[in-house]
Amino acid sequence: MAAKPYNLTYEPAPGEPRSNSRPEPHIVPIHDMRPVADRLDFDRQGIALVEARTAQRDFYDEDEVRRVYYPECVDLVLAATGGIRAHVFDHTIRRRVWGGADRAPGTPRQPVTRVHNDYTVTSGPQRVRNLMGGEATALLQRRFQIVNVWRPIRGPLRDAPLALADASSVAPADFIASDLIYRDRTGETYNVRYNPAHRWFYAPDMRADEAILIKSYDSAEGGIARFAPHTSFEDPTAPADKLPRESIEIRMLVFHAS
Amino acid sequence: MSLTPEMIERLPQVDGVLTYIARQWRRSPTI
Repeated sequence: MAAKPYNLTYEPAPGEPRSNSRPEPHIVPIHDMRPVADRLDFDRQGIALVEARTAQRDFYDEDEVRRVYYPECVDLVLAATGGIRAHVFDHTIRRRVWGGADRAPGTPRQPVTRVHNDYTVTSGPQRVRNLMGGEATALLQRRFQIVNVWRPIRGPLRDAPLALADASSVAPADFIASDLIYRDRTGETYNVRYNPAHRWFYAPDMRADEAILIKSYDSAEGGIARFAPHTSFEDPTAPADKLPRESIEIRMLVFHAS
Repeated sequence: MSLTPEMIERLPQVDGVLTYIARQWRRSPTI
């Protein structure tokens, strides 16, 4: 099929579709990752659950997030990946509003409800070129990664937890490059096709002193996890009066020595 | 020890509905 899937990030003009693709729901087993957290290999599964206490007091204070939380996340990710340098380039806070749509005007960012990966073989290196200026060409000669650090702002999290795919269970053909169209630019992400071979994990009742690391790009090849698809989901065992999710994710470039 | 399929099978689990992309999509008329 020649046409590429796309999603608009904004309300389209009347008569213009917001997307040219359809969602396809599947019921899948999602495994508790806690008993095997120390066996997850970030280079194999592309995901990690880590203890990560923070000195951050108010995640809604943007200055404090940049001053306190960003450096903490850099330390966490360099320790987990063996990288020698990291550059945090953005963060997103999601605060569930019951019935709210993601990216709707006046509504906080909402949990993402489709299986996706934030970067592709094309948009990963492009992010480095866009962010690192004159250094980019040299930096792209060595291994680099894009890593998300995700945590609940309050816990235990029971509303819209993250489901994380074991990257080694996702075949290259399952990734569908798709345009994510903003008013002023177009990004490229992966949507994902269903495959019964996918293995899914989550961290039940995740606490605010824990974090999940997600690899959304790795330039390394040859059996290394390059992309770890993820999505929010509704835990069928969660209580009806669960607190609405509040979470923060930061994204960073991670550069290696060789 | 690395993770094995047998270890995963023994883990507690829930059944969740995950939303994938359908295998067919339309050509965009406008973009």
